Order: sequence, then structure tokens, then C-alpha cells
Amino acid sequence: MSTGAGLPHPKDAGAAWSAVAQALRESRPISEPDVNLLAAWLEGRLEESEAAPVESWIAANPLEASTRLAELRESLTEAPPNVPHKLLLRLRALRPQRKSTHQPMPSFWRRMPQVAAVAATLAIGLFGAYGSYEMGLRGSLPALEQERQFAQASLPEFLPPEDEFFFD
Amino acid sequence: MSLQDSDISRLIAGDRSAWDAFVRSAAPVVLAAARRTLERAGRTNEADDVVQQVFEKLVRDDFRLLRTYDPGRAQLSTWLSVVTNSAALDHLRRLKRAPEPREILPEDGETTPPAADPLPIPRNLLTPRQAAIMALLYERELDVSEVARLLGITEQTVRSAHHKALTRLRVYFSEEFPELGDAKARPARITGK
Repeated sequence: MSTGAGLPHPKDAGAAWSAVAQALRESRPISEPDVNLLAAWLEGRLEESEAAPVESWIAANPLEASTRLAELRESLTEAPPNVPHKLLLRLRALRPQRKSTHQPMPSFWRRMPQVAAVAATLAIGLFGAYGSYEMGLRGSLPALEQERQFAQASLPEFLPPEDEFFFD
Repeated sequence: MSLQDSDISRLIAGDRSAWDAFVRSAAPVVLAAARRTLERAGRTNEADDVVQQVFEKLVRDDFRLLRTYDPGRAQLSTWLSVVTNSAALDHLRRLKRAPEPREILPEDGETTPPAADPLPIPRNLLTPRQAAIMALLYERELDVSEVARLLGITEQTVRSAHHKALTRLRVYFSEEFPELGDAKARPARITGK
């Protein structure tokens, strides 16, 4: 059954579309368009190629999409309602409190444990170093003294007494 | 101050006066969209709750949602309406009282085609716009002017796209299924490839 223009009768066209639509919907799920994209589409800012995701969504979900689009267009054209004062107060209270990005310097007393720890570490280190130096110095003094005496000693001191030098 | 003049950067930085000004100018837009969406379920009395939910979403996680707004693409009022429409639908879904989409039943005299072997169909048989127009005309049963208004295009564009879509469908079915004679006697089930 065809119309005079050689096109399918509307009833047949609907049936043909139904088959095609079913196939397309089964072949790939169409997700809801991005908020920015849908907003731009509503304002008529998109070229046909850019609008493809939105129009594919409409083709895949004509009932839901057309209802939503109609609601959006109506809400955008109607006069804005008065907002109850109580609601405005509730909304104003939703403002998140920003955390300060810079921390105040802690007081000296709050930092006292850290200061004490650093001081103790330094003191122990210095004491240890000095102690090691002293121990090393004292340990080497007798040896130096012996060496000095040895160097100053004369030859006779090394020779045995004469009465022992000769054999009877 | 209009909504479009809202200083988003100051607002996100935590400026109290910027936030208060934003609330004053955005709340009516959000409330209008919430009421319009909830109206279908007869729940406009819950619009205030949805408005609060929307503002909570905007500020959550350090304004994560509000930061996604692209002023180069749409006006803030349009963007907020889309966000609110989505939030209101979520609200209705949570309540499980949202009207389920009505199943499209075949017209009298037509029978639901029995399942048959799946047949391939080209994805680009129709452009997305042609497909959307066909869906709105034949499934949603809107007339040309309603489709034009919904899609934001002229009636002439709708008629032209509709004509091209019908021609493509006719050619496709006559080439792929010449034995069927016309579209009505189409294969029972066609799947995309």
C-alpha cells in the first residue's frame, strides 16, 4: 500500500519505522546526553552533527525524551515563581565553609616538644663527639710519652753493666 | 543581578555575597523546573525538597557539579533547568511513584510480529535527526508543528527530514526484501549490525 508520492502509507511507514527503531535500539544502548550538551541543544546552539547525541537519545526514548524536553522548554519560558523565604534561607545556609589554606604559626609553647627534641639530639651528639675526642687523646698520651723517652734515651742505658759485659 | 551575571569563580571561592546573590537568582529557575517536572506525578508540593537537593548537589564535593558548567555552551538558567529536571526525575524514581513509560502497543489490526531470524540493518540508514522525527511522529504521535517546537526546528525542516526518512526506508525495504512488496509485510525482527 503506497501513497501517491510513491511513499509507504503512513501506517506502513510507522510499521517500517517500528522495525528499524527496534533494531537500532537493540544494536546500541543510547545514554542520556551530557547536561552541557543538552542545555546547548535546548538553546539551539548546535549544528545538526553536534546535535546527533541528543537526537539519537530522542529517537531511542521518544516518550521519555519528549516529555522531558517539553517540561524543560515550558519551565524556561514561564515566568519564574516566587521562592518562599524559608526556602531561600535554607539554600543560603548550604554555602560550604571554606577551609583556610594557610595554617597559623603554632605558638612557641605548642612547639616546645619539637624544640626540646632537637636540642637534646644536638647535645647528645656534641657530648658524644667531645667524649670520643677526649678518650682518643688520653689513650694515645702514654704511648707518646714512651716514644719520647725512648728517643731521648742514650746508648749506655741500653747496654748492660760492665761487670756483666765480660765473661769470667 | 541576573543569573547569567553570577560570579561562579567568586562563588566557588567561598564568597558569601556571591553565594547569596546566586541563591536569589537561581532559586526561581530551579523551582520552576522542579515544579514542572514533578507536575506529571502530581507531586509539586515536593518541589522545595527537590530545589534543596539540587543546591546540595551543586555545592557537594567542593562545587564539583557547578564546576562542570560551561558558560560558552549555554546560559546558566538553561543548564540549571536541565540539572533540576534530572534531579526531579531521580526524586520521583526514588519514591517509585513515577509513572512508568507507557508501552507502545501495535495499532488495531496489527499483530506483534513473531520472533524471526535477526536480519542486519545499517546503522546509518537514517540520520539521528530523521530517526528522532520518525520516533516523535510515529511513536509519540505528535504532529509536525509539535515536533518542530520540541526539536527547535522549523516545520519545513521536519517535513523535509520526514520525507527523506520515508524514502530511505522505502528504498531499504524494497532492496533488502523485494519479496515483501511493502514495508507493512516486513520481517518480524530486525537487528542492527
